[in-house]
Amino acid sequence: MPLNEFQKDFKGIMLRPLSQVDEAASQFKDNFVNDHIPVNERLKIYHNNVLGSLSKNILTTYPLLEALVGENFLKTLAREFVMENPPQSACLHYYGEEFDIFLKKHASTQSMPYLSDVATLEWALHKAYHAADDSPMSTDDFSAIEPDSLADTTLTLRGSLSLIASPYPLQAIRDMCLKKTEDAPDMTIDHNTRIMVWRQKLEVNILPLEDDEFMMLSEIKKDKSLGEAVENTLNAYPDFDFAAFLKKNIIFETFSKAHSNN
Amino acid sequence: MNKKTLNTLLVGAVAATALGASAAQAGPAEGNEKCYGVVKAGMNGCGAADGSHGCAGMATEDASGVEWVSVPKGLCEKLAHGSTTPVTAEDHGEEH
Repeated sequence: MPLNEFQKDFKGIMLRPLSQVDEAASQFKDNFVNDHIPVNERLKIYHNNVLGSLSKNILTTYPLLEALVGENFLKTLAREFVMENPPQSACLHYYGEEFDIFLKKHASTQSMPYLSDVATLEWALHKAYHAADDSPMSTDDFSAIEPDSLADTTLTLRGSLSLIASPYPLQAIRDMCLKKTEDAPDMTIDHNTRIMVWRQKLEVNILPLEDDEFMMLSEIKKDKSLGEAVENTLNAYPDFDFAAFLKKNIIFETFSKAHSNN
Repeated sequence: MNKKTLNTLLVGAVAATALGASAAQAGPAEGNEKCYGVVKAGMNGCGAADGSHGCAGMATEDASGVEWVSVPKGLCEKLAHGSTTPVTAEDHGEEH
């Protein structure tokens, strides 16, 4: 059996439910030692290690979810997630991004629709912690842009930055999970949560945003030119104050570089 | 909005930012420092001082002298076993 076929079959066994390992093990009889420890028992050790370590990785990435639903339930969900979405990279820091999508679709979490958005927040925090260091744009960097080309300039947001919109009170949920407060937030009303998560030096921050700021940053994230982004935001929010927005975002070190399109 | 009005708005905003910036940038330069010897396993910042791993969250024992966590400046020296420089095994004096 060629190595790549063997690896593919092996991976297939690792990612199936435990109950199916015995049956699948028979095809490995010739490739594995099969003595006083039968081949199916040997494969179950690998199976347990692969699913155990990868799902543990999910649990450490999503501590708020664990606080919300408990370790056992989350572990079961994580194992299922691992079987459906094995890692694509050897670096496990990048593993688990789609967990929010998985939770949104999963039958057993439909009574807790906020879980998916909490997962989105946790991934944003995780991403911010591990993002590469990029340096923020200063006032001088902005002053250095040719005034005539400002409208055509596109800005790049910091690599650690995520924008999250959700109807659920994500920060209140987080505070509750971290036991900063005993009060359970009201989940029945639309909280219109608009937040940005990013890292300044070694500190990961969560900042609530106004609707117009959120839109402006979203436009920038979509690589719209400054002129177009401001115009679109003003069309939706006529009171949008770009000067205040710019000042605030320089202080919060939101932008990493400007690209002139002239 | 015509292009000229838009440009005036953008240029004005950048100019206004330059005026107000000095006050905003005058705050404390560095608010945090690395603190070794106090972090829980799995909660460490990126990279062990002895090079045994390069990733955040990979410390396998509590309060290792080569694992760090970012804390506000000045806090580290108030913590038991806290050190702003890596602590090697020999420095510990006793086994935990």
